Amino acid sequence: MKVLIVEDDADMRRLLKIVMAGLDVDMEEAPDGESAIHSIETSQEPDLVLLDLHLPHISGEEVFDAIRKHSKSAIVIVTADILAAPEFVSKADGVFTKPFKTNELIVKLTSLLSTHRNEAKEE
Amino acid sequence: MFMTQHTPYSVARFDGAIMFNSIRAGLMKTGITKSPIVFFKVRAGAQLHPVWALDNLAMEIYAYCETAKAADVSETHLQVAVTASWVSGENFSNLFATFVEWHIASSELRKRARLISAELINRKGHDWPADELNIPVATVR
Repeated sequence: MKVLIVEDDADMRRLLKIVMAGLDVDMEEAPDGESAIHSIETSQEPDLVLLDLHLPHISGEEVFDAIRKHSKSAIVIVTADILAAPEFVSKADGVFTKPFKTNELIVKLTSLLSTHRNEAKEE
Repeated sequence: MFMTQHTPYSVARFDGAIMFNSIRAGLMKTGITKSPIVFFKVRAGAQLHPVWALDNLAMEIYAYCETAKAADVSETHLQVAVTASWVSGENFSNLFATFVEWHIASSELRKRARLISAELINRKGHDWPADELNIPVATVR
């Protein structure tokens, strides 16, 4: 299983990598929207994308739309932008505002990845 | 060369019977959203394992339990093989089911449960309990 972490803050990327590492997945990092979209378009489709909304050059909203257009990946928003976050409640597979509780994130990511894994088994 | 070592989270696999009368269903806060969650117990010999499940799997387990209740089958009718992940904090440890293999004998019950499960997942015709349920570890700050 593959997870794409789209986050411009290196410390937050490191924290998310530590959380994800325990879930036994391959990880790819994208520090901005452009590299995230490039990755989605050119490499193996991720099962899950962790997406920050405030990114340099291309906004997280645009990256969100591009991911939805090109893949069936689950998308979890992890953002400090509390005002923008509610807009994604009905669109994303999960929305976490910083600071978040690590265990809540682990539980949600475990659930989403197992759903993807079980669906892949059935296909 | 610098190498970072990661330890995968622990996984548990066990067989047993879901004590369908023990199931509790509700919503757990996950970030700013809420996710369907169930808490149930699996009888394995002399032991009783408390287990949680989230999202679609929660709805599937709930559907099987509600169907078993309505069918008035024996307490140990819902035989399962469970794969689960541990989610722990300093003072609590929780098993989160990630996959349930159903070993029940009644094909009629299975058929009915699958139908209810699909309806719950597609938000058709069945209401999900709105009670707030949280794993103990999530409340520790």
